[in-house]
Amino acid sequence: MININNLNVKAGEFSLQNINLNIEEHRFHVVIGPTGSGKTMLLESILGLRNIESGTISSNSENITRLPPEKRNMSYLPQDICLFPNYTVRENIYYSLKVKKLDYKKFDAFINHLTDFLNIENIMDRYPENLSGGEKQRVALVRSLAMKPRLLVLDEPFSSIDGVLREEAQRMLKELYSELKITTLMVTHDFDEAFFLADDVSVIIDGQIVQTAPKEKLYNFPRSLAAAKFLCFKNIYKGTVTDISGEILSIIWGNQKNPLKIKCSCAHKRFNIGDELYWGIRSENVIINSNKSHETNNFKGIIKKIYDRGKRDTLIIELENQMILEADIYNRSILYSDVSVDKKINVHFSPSTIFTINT
Amino acid sequence: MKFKHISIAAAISLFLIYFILIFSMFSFVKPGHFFEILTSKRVLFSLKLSFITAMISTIFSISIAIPTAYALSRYKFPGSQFVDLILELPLVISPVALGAALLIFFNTSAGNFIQNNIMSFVYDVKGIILAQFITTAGLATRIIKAAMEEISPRYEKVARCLGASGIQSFRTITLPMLRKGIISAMIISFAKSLGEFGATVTLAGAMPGKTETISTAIYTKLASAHLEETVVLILILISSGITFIFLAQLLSRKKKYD
Repeated sequence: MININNLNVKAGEFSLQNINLNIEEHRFHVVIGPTGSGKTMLLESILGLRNIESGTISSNSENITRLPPEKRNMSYLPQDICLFPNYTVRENIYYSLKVKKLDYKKFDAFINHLTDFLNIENIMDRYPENLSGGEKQRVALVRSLAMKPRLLVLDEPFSSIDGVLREEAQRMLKELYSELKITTLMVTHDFDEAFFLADDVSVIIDGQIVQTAPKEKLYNFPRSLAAAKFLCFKNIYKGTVTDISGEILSIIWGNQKNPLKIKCSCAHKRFNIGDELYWGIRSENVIINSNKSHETNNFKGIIKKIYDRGKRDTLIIELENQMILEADIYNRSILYSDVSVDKKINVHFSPSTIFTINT
Repeated sequence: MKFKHISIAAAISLFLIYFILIFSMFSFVKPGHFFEILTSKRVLFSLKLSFITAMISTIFSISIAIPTAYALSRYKFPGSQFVDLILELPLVISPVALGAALLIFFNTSAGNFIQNNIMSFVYDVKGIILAQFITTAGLATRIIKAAMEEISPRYEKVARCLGASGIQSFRTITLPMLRKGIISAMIISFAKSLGEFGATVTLAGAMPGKTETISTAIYTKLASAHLEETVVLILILISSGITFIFLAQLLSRKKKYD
């Protein structure tokens, strides 16, 4: 396990502040954040490529904070891949073993397995300039894994490829990870990519980790406003707690007469009656014109706009309390043929899909 | 007339200027005299001296230029901007001024100490090497720095993480990628050293059989109105310079990563 405690790193005007991160053994950990949030700086600090002001980095209780990069046994795959142009694919892959003076024979079977798995055996004697983008990526992955690192560090590895190739590369990495279970840390600004690959996700904004959680939890339940906004939550509102009953919070929001019910573990610990809070719901979790009858959280509204996004449609709904709500619906032509602009609709929020944030 | 034609005409005109200049010199040399002058003891000596000193000063220039260029392109250290600025000095001040500065330095107490106890430079072959080095080191650094800035520092970072030490990653990754830049710097340094006159004549003089290089020999021959010998020396300088540049260009063009 890699533990990062109170890490502070400064580079010019920008700094990483009090970074605390645990990368569990055999887990795929993704750090997600907007451009300029300090993702690459964080990776380079963990790899030993930057001077650390304070804090510690340890690996299985061994303090590696001051260890040079070559002694950390962490391999690095940057966004521009950086295959060494003066070496063949084979020489690139065996580079780590050569410089570390390791016995090739001990690694041959593992490397052969990787080259076979990623289908690059037939390009081993080529130079990088004669490889396609996808081939370069696979070679770089094998090169990073050849020395069996304790941590594989990936810096936006798919940023140079698009479309189908990008999806294929992501699948390949996922399959490779499932096969090897090598502890991996990746940074990306791509929300879908992060949730496709990760076991655990951390959100970094302005040099600070604002939340770390298993991906399912983070996806629906952000713990800070900054994280919620970065994670594309469109429906975020302010409300006031009017009642706490077991795990159920009752909230008044806008001038809505019916209180909103939210299922919230530790409701009593986190909130008191009268507290203000932020609450929100993913646009795809908003239920439109449900056939089932729901006891709570039923609201009326009018569709103001519909945005056709190809796979889905986004409805902009004005609720009775004048609040604006976004709802995503899939298969509109089949399931929601009666949905159109200016139509009145019923919306429902399931209490267990709503997140809360203390103000 | 299209811009394309104007630009091609400009290129041809420039070539013609140089061509006429070189061609006009042949009218001053009788074919029989050419080899006689070329194989004369004095000319052979200056030729040998020029090539040897240019080679040594190029080695020194490149040896200091590579680490300097690395430091300037990769790190920000106190005074790095000033070092960068100083490197332009040989480009903007005349070689005679550089030679004079060296001569004046060797008249200070520190310079005298070096002269008397370590190595003698004034009116000596070592002075030629020093003069050539001073005029080419900055230029070589600038060329290698430009090439180094084209190489992402990430290559070395990846190599470090794969287990290479700082020097190992530089030697095994950056240096081979710098090949073309280094060859270019070597060509320019060698050619400039070969033709260096101002600093050399000021610091080392132009003593026949001792410190007379091809460039200084051209000046002394012209000053004593030996036009035929002057022209032969100029032609030697031109032909050797062009041959070296052509060979080096061939070397740097050779594709390695097929």
